[in-house]
Amino acid sequence: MRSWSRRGIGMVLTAGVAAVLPLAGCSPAHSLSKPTDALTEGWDLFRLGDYPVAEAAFVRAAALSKPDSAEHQRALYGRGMTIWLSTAGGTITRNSQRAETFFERAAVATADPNIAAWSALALARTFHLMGGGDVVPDYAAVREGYNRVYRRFPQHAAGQEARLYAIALRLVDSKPAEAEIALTELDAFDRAHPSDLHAGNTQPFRAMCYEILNRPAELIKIKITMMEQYQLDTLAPQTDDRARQCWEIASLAEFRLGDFALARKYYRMILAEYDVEVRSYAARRALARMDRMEAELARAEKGVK
Amino acid sequence: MAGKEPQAGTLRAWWDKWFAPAVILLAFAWAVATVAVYVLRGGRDDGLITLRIGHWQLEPGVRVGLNEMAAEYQKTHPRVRIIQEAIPEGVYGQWSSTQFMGGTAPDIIEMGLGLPPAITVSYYNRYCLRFSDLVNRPNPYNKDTEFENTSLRNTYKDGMIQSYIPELKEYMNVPLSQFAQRLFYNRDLYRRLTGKETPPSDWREFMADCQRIAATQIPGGTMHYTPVVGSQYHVSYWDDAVLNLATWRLYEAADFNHDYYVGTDELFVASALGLVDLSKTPAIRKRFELARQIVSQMQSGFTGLTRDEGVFKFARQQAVFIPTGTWDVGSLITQAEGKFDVGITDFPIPAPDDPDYGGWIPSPRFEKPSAGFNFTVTKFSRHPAVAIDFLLFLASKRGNEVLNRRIGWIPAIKNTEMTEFLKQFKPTTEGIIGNFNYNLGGNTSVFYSQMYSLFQVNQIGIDDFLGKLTAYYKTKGAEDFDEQQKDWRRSTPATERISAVRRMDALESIPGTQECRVAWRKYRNGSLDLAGGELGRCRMMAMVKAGVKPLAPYAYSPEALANIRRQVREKMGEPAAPPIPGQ
Repeated sequence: MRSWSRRGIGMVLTAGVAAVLPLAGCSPAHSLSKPTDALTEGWDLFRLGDYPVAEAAFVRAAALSKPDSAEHQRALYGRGMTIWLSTAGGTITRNSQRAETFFERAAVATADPNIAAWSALALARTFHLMGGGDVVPDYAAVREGYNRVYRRFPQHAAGQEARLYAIALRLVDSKPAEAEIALTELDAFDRAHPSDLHAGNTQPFRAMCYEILNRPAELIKIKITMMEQYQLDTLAPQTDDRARQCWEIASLAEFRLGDFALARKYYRMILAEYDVEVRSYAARRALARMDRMEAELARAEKGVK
Repeated sequence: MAGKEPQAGTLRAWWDKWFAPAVILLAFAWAVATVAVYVLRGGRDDGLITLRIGHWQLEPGVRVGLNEMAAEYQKTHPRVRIIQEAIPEGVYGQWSSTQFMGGTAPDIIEMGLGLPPAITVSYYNRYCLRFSDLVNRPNPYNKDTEFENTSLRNTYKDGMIQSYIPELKEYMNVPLSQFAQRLFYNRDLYRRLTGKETPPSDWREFMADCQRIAATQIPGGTMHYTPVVGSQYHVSYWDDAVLNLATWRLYEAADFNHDYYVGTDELFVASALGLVDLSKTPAIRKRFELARQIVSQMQSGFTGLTRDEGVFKFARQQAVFIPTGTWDVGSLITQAEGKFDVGITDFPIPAPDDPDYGGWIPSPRFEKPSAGFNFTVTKFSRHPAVAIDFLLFLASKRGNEVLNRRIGWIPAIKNTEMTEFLKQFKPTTEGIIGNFNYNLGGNTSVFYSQMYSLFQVNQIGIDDFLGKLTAYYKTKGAEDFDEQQKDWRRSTPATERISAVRRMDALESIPGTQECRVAWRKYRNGSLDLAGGELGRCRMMAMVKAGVKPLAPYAYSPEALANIRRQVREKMGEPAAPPIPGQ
């Protein structure tokens, strides 16, 4: 009687658990029979930060697709990105090494040249960020990695992004000689890609070069060009950074160039264009300071004469 | 009796044998039934839509105000039910994390408390709906108002600037109120103890009033009145409102990137290169002299007191002034009701001609009007359109005015009315900011807190305090600066994650469409953030490594001075410059 009752209770509980299990998930089980569905699922989960499940979706996408298909290549790229970027600081090296295999395979596959280019860039980027915060990258090797991507995909946005990184990383030591070379390379980039995705993206690096080379006139000129060509996000105009740009141009013109006319123009622009701006008080003071300084110098000049 | 076995076949024996299994079976059956009902109901439209709204506002009036607005919304949307989940501030971070991760987050949730900024951004990215399209369309609830054809963001006093998350390049929340900080005071007590009606705006006069207040004994006891309420919470209000303003001009020596702000890294580099000396630079010394003066007006032992203990002292009429924000207006007035009048004044600052401090604090502080009480809609919502609609109702001109009137806060929407009392919170939109950004994190931050606490309670003097701070900053601060740079590199996967998502959004968009162009522009604009950040940090490191004292960022270079002199000579005799706008 006792053993029967125990067995009976056990059976009832097991049956109950079995009955309730499909409900307990509270969502229908996904039946991903197409690789495209699995890829979509993978990226949706990636966006949600659910990396282990996202990786499983990409594994499924790869399994469902033919090895030489575009879907297979995309699954490899997605899996690589998921492994690499699921990383926290301490695991970046291990995860980068794991991800590399997938990026390498996706980068040499030919079904989707677009994904091949982005995979090659991802491969170079994993090398760049390898070691997290505790290792200073071997910048020469990192730059070479980026340059390889550009040599292979010079007309693709991924290749051009890689090239800009390769040029920019010349400036990590703030050495004037490297800044001179970088300027030449940025000129060449602009000539080669006047209307591609990254057109105009050379300017922040040009500005850094002029800063390192202590060429304030050119620095200010490029800052003005950057401001004039600033692409305001029409959906988010509140990101307007012009007041900061005005302040930067005005203060550099005042203190580095001594061009008060230019400084006045941009200090005044802050006051004229912004009702509420943190730099307004200081801009007003700067205008008064320059007037005062000019008056004092004029008095001194008259005294000399 | 104890331990005696019941006889077989009796009711007692049967009970003993089956009681435990029966309880387990019943509990199990209840669990099965609950899950089954939950799942089965989930897929069925029973005619009612229940929205859950989570927030941390336990102040009087907020829950009542939201309930009243929900009731009003239900008049036009009878199928909607709104349930609030008000969570204490202390556990809000943990609560929201578990709700997000467990997939049980409410439909609408207040964001911005208890989590590091990077985590908040990642939660926005993973779990919340994007509002960029929404904020660029008119709010349908503004029909028949002057905002009928105005985009939602342009109906806000601050243009919804705080709702925009730069890392995601998206608007992510809908704010409902505006906040500001001021000095509240017991009007009756102030009048009785000083003989004056309104507190002064001048720092020295304020200090004189405080001394008068502190010299008066509380009737029926031996204690004296406390001029200014102090507590761990309240003391920090003085930092931004007054004390740090003395360090405004540090930007002249340390704003290397000419953005007008001094970052923690910039202050450290300026210190390492000898452009700023924490123990000698006058701006820093003045800041702590003022700190010494104000903490002397607080009750003894205030550093060990909590916010509630501070408020209690004010409510018991033992203190005259208490610094706090608009969110406390309702509770302070409630506590004072029938006992005393509450007044509001701005924080006093030194007069521009003050011989000691006027040169360092030439203007009141700049207060950026910014909205808070930010709500977003989560991806877990089964009725996102309804959740968004309810938020739009609360963010409409009329809805926002009514909501904030009921709560006792400042509306976030333009052209809305508020009570006379709250009009005193109008922000000062031209002024200065503090630039003493010492906190490099790690041990430097801990050391500063420890030393500042000792300084506040007068256990160490200003020379000792600044001397110790300087010595520590130069040694351990360097380690924390180095760690800060490493931390930046450690955080790069997070930057890459956002970039990867933007890239996929662009790759998945349909070529030739506006959506595609926007998606690629967003990707392009953020694609070089990593290189830009790295170079900026490398530049700071290179400056420290070089160890050469550079020209201060806002000092005239010799070339600039020569140029100015040349221009003055050329200009002599020419007409004066055109007038400055606004003067």
